[in-house]
Amino acid sequence: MLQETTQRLNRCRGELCSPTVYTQSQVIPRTRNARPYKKLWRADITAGIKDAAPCSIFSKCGCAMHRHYNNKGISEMKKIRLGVTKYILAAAAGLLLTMLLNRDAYAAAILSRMFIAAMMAAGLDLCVGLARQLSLGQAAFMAAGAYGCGTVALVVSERSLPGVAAGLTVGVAAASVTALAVGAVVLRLKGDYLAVATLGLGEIVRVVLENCAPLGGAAGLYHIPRFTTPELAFAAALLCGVFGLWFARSRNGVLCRAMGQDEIAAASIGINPMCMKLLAFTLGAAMTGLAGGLYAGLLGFISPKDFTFARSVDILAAVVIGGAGTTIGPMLAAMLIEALSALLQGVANIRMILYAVILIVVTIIKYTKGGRRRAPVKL
Amino acid sequence: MHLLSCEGITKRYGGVTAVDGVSLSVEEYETLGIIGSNGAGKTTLFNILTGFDRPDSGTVTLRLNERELQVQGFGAFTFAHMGVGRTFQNLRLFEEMTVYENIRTAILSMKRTEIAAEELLKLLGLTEQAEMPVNKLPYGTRKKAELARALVCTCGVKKGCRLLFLDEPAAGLTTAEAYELALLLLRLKKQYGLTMVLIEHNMAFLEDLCSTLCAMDEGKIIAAGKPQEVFSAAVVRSAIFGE
Amino acid sequence: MGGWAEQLINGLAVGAVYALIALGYTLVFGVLRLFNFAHCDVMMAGAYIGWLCAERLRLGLLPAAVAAAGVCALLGLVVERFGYRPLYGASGMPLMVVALGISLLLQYTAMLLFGAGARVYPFGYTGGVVRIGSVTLPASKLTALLLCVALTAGLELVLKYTRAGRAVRAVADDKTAARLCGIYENRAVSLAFVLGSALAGISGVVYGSMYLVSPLMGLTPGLKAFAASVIGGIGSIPGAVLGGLALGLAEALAGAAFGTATKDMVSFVLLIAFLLLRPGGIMNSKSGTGRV
Repeated sequence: MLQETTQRLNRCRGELCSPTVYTQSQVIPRTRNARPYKKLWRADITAGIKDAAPCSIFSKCGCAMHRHYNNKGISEMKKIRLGVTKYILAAAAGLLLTMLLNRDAYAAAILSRMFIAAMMAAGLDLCVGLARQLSLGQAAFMAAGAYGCGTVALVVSERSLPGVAAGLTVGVAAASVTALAVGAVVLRLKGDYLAVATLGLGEIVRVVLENCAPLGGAAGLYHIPRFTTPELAFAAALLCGVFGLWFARSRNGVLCRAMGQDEIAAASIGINPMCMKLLAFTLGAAMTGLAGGLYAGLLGFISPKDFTFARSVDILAAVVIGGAGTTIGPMLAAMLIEALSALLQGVANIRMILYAVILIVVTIIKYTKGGRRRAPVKL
Repeated sequence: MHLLSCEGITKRYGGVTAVDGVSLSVEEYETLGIIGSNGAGKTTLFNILTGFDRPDSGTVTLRLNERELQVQGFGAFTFAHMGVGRTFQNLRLFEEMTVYENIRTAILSMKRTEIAAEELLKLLGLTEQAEMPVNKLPYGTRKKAELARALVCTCGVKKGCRLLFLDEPAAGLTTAEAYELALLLLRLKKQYGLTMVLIEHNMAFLEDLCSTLCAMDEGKIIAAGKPQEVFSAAVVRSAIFGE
Repeated sequence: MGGWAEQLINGLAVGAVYALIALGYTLVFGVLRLFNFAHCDVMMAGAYIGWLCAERLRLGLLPAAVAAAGVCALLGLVVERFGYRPLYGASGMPLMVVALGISLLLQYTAMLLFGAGARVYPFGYTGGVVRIGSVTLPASKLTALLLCVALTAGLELVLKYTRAGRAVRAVADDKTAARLCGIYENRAVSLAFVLGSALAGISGVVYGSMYLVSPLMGLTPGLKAFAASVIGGIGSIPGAVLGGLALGLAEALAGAAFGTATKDMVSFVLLIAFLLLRPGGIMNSKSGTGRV
């Protein structure tokens, strides 16, 4: 059959395909990029767009950039770039606060919690913001980190630096391995279905922990050395934030972002979608695991009740409110939410109600800026 | 020498046989057009030849570095690294990026490319729009951007097979735009030594561009040969032109 | 033999409650493509309304259920109008966060109003036992099953044969096409919320009368019903019912065979197995093409 078709095709090859005209060596244009890609990326492309700002992938604000770019022209970009310094200022303020408030044990705990929440938000943002893989099971990775770290800390049972380091390493490793194993299975699912599957996995992990006698069952682990200080948490959060920002600008990060926008198009230009998803998922889980380890070191006791669906949701709320895909935004939002919840401690009985109302109102306001939106008619 | 050949490709979706035992070969530097009515199985065949679909049976062979490779069942992304670029029937661009970033991402993904984004932009006349987000561009320009991105894979790999698959490149374009696109494709072909496979409904466009044509109906190839021969074949006239 | 039959009926009764809740998830997912996590707390509200009716007003099961359905329908309407509607143009994630916010709001409002402790429906509230041959069955479980069947049939009738119901189905099928046909999309969405919330109210009364009533009671059955709706085929009415009943049965059987520890896990294991192997669920629903 092949031969038959080929013969028929051969009979009538046109002039356009006469092989004498072209040989590969003649036609390949040798214009290798001498400069590394990062520099080139930032470089001006042609004279016509000389004064254009860097491309949005490397810009500090990701998607937000486009909106401004479209509406307000190029000049607006500089303002946004200045806006980044605000984040740096905020980070510095955080450090200052750490130093100032450290004397008070309660304030120290709150600060640690804020930084831990920020780390988890940064982790989920890699997954949700960059690779667009909605995960509702972050609590499971946090649990993996917390239990991994807690177990090691219990064995070492002193607050020495190597002990803490070993605990956190094991925590991160546990979370990463869990994410790899789980991700290999569930990341084949898309969109909402992935969210549901991760939700289910989160619950499974919780139930397993509740029934796992060596890990304390429903009562959890006690007497974990309380090694987490605000400084340690801050350093870890800073590490996560810087890593998140760096990753989003690295080659793999850019490919991840592309894959998140269109999986099939990404495959057509040689990106392995599964690989990218697993990468983002695992890195995100590793950060969440680190946060979990610090959480165990902060409280001194952990139980499956700490890692419920509600926890996963809290992290997601921070990412959505902070602006998915911007790394810094979710981190700040997470810290604000944690601070808010601490501030509301004074009115304990209506604290959660206020928190919920604020969550709803802020989300609605943030996503309806510029009037109520109507779904566009797609024809 | 065949650059790409497939033999006995069959693909079923549920009870429907989309592609039914198709065999065909593509020579180096050839431009092969595939015509057929809607639902004839053209796009399915395309997807199989570029790795986006797995055939139920049959083989796809690609000649790479003077070696024959059986590639059916490989992931789509490996095809790109072998020098197969493709566009899609309904455009698939990275909507939140600019034209430049779309191309740049492809170059990043291909690691060591032999082609620079600036060059592609200039070649396709996209320099002016390079910094525009693709979702703000008119349809024709978006198509060009997608073509540019596919070209990165096609021309960017050293010793790659330089295959370009175009799924309805002229659909939605005006006659003038289609003519311009045909000229552009010819120029690209000359410059880079491309081998092209394209699905198209615009017969004039095909006549300008293709050295050979394949007509498909109900998942089978019903005619193949020079464009004029195919157009005038009785089976084609009845199945595709409805005469 | 009797033990097994009882287990089966127990499982089916719990499954019937899951099915009723799952119907609400499925209705809302159909029209909005939103997993409405606040749904289980609407159910909790229904349970409290029913408890108030039973404890304070000394109403019977059916009047209490009707009252709960009414109040919850109103609650669903308010939630939809002021919580979700401003966000219809935005993507799914903000909607999900609002859903979770509403869920928290309902939980902690209930905690403020009724306290954190569990409440119990008046003893013997749902009647005694029914004997069929050698098998003794609590009447409450039979009621749950009957209610489930009747309400599903009713819902199916509403959706199939009334103008408004057809509008809901049209919007679920294709929003744009429905709008082009002159259907008020927002009204259809509201109706889906009202129907779903009313069912949640009734299931709250049934579930509450079988177990306890507490502000956080919605979470577990909510998540399981959610799993049931996906297992049955999200977006499909018969799927939700089948999924709910199947899940109830599977839980009862797993509980009987391997102990209670596995009981909580079985629904989520089933959920993931279905997502991976048959994402369309039992009914292979159209919107279940979540696989790459």
